[in-house]
Amino acid sequence: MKYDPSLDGEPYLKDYEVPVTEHMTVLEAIVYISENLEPLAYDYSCRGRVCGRCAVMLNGVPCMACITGLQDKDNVIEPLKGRPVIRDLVVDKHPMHDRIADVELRVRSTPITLEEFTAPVSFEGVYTKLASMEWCCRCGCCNAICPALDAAPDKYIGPAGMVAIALRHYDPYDQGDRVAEAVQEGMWNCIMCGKCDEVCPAREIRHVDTWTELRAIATERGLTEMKASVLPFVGQ
Amino acid sequence: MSGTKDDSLRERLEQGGLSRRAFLKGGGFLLGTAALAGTGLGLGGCAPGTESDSSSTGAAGIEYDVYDADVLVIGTGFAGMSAAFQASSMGATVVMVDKGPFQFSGGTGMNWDQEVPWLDFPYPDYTVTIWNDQLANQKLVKNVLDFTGNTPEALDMRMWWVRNGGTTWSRNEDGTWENLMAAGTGMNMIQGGFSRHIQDTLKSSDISVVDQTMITDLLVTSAGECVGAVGMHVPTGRYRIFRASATVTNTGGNCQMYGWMRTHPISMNTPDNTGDIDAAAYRRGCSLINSEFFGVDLISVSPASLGCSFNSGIGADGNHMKYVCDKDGNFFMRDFVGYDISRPIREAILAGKGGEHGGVFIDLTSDESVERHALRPVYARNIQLWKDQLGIDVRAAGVKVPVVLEAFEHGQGPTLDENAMTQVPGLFSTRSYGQVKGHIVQGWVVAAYAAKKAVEYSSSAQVDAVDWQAAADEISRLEEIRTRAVEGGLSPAKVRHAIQEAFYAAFEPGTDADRLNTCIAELERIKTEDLPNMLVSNKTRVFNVDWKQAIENYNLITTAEAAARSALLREESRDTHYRVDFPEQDDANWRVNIAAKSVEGIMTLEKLPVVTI
Repeated sequence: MKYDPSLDGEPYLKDYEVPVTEHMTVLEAIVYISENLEPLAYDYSCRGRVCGRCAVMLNGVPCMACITGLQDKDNVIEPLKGRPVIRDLVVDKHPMHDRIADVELRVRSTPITLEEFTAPVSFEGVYTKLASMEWCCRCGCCNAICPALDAAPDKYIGPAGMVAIALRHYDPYDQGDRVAEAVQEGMWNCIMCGKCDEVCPAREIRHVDTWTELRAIATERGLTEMKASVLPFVGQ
Repeated sequence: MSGTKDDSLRERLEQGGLSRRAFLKGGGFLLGTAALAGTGLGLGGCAPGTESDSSSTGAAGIEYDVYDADVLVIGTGFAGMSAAFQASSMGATVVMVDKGPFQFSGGTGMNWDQEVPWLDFPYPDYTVTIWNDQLANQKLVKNVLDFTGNTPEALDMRMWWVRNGGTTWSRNEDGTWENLMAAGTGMNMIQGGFSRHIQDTLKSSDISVVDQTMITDLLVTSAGECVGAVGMHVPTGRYRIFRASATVTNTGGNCQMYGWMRTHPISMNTPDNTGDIDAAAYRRGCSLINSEFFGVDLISVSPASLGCSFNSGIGADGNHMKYVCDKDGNFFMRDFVGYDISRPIREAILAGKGGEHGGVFIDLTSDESVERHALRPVYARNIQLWKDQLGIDVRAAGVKVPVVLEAFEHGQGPTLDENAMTQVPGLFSTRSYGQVKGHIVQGWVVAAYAAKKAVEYSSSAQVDAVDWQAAADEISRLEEIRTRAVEGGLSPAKVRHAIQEAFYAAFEPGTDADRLNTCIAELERIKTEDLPNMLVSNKTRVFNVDWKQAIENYNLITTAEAAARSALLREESRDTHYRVDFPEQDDANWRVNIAAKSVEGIMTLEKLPVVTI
């Protein structure tokens, strides 16, 4: 998709013929177009699903361009859904990133000591779940496909923010009440469809399993709904 | 950009009520707006950045924003964050500027399981151990360690990380932390560091971050002092001028000259690092040292589409050489003892034992080859990725993964004195104090020291006012690149690839005088024929990748030329610098730093004796 808001009235699709090579990725096709056919605005850095910058929509599904193979048909590449477009395939993710950074800050009253850090941690109970969530690169693919976020963006932080909350829930050094926070951020709005699990480039992260665990704890504590007053939007 | 710190500051400024003095005391930075009047980009009478003009605009001119701070920190990686935290803790106002989106740029912008080493004992001297460096400026190293404390506790980066939000790092199944070094060696190393946490902490601090802004030049007064930098905000093409009485540069190693493969050079390093500050420092009077040294590791080159990425490739680092093999399946690295793995690999390739791809192989078909200590988790997780996304099974019988040496780091940077200051007063740097190549712990501690010296300089220096004509000249230069009209001009990408191909052909799998001379001749040709002929076909200011690449190409050719000329001068082999025509290390003649300096526009090299105590 092409769009320069400083020049164009609205976004438009443009066709390019790209000679396909074996195992051609979406990023490779984008680079080919930009270098050989017409300059595009696109962004990437790591080529390995850890910086998150090349996330785009491929045939309507969010993906990381660097590790996703082209499909054997016409491929429609669009900017990541749900974000303001800066130009062509580049979107502004600052608000999403600011919010994730906010919730993922550790809540802690005193500095961690060396003794505390070197003490063993619960391997199966905590470490393996925590370690999987560390791989989240905040690319935003999960948010771009999330129907709950799409339906009510003011009532749900979305799966990327939920991963950040869950990471601190499992972090043995965090002292915050992350289950309450998950509820406050709209956990019960999630419809448990699992689309985040399908599109997440970090295969280690088990989104729905994690939500299930957080929901069980919340239910036990009676935190079974988000009070409307928690988020003070107009009309609530 | 909605939601960024500079926007909220802009609002506060436009609402008025903040005097410059009060604002600086308040720990923020000053954002002004000014305009270069007229098409000739000459400047009007008043210098921008004063109290009254923070929201002024000019008619028909090119606007730019002005940021003001005690200390400007360029680069927001581990070193940049360390520098910013240090300067801020000393009471300085700090502005950080990053070329990419903050938290997602450069090496630190990759959120993967970084590893950190530390020792159980103080450094016995200032030339060895994790500094791994016979060419280091020993006075600087000593000053750094005197500042941080030469103790295991002071240099334990993992604790800094954990206290800034890092979690448990890698654990054994009994829950104890996993030391990747053998017990009793006194050396320790742990994996499982994820960079986002420290960045989250910094984001919640008072330190201002101006991101997606590429610095294109340093502001140097007629007295030769650095008083800031000129940059361009990539999403809007808007110019930004940074005023600071001291500047600390912490940009990553520039490896973009190392070949080209569909989406990226033969390098896991990121396209954000194109030597912009190194080249600017060179233009402004600094010499560049240690340009001939690259950090190299093995990474897969097939499928080429993955672009030599560390994080989607299959590779082997120095500690994981057991399953590296030649074309006949010999695991030739198993007998190798030593630090520099590049030499035996290059020798195998030169002896004809490599594959058609010009490198060697990794064999992951045995069960042992994919165990925890044989293959790094960052590579192991890609086995499934390749299967799922590309239909490639690297564990199938008979499969060998083709790998080559990729440049993940570069030793190049401005020459430093023992105070981490460059040859331009007011400009400090955290790289290039030896042939070391971007070591994570070194960057962390040297940056803190450099920032301390920068704050001291900032509070004592009698700094001249900014020469706004220099800023105007730089903006004119960038505008000319964007608006240039050339019949049949070359695309910036084509020029980029010409630099990359010329350079790579001279450096791998080993280099010699003939190949380096060919490379230098080609770089000279590109400089005189191709660069002036470079055409940015779409003239938009909005996220113009071609324009950015065109600006970068001028920096890339300078840094590539310094690397090639330094490699040609160094008639010995040392560390990863491998001259096939001079295969031995020659300490008698070459335990020196090589510096490349611009003398009346000509790159001139000199041998500098290693600074010893």
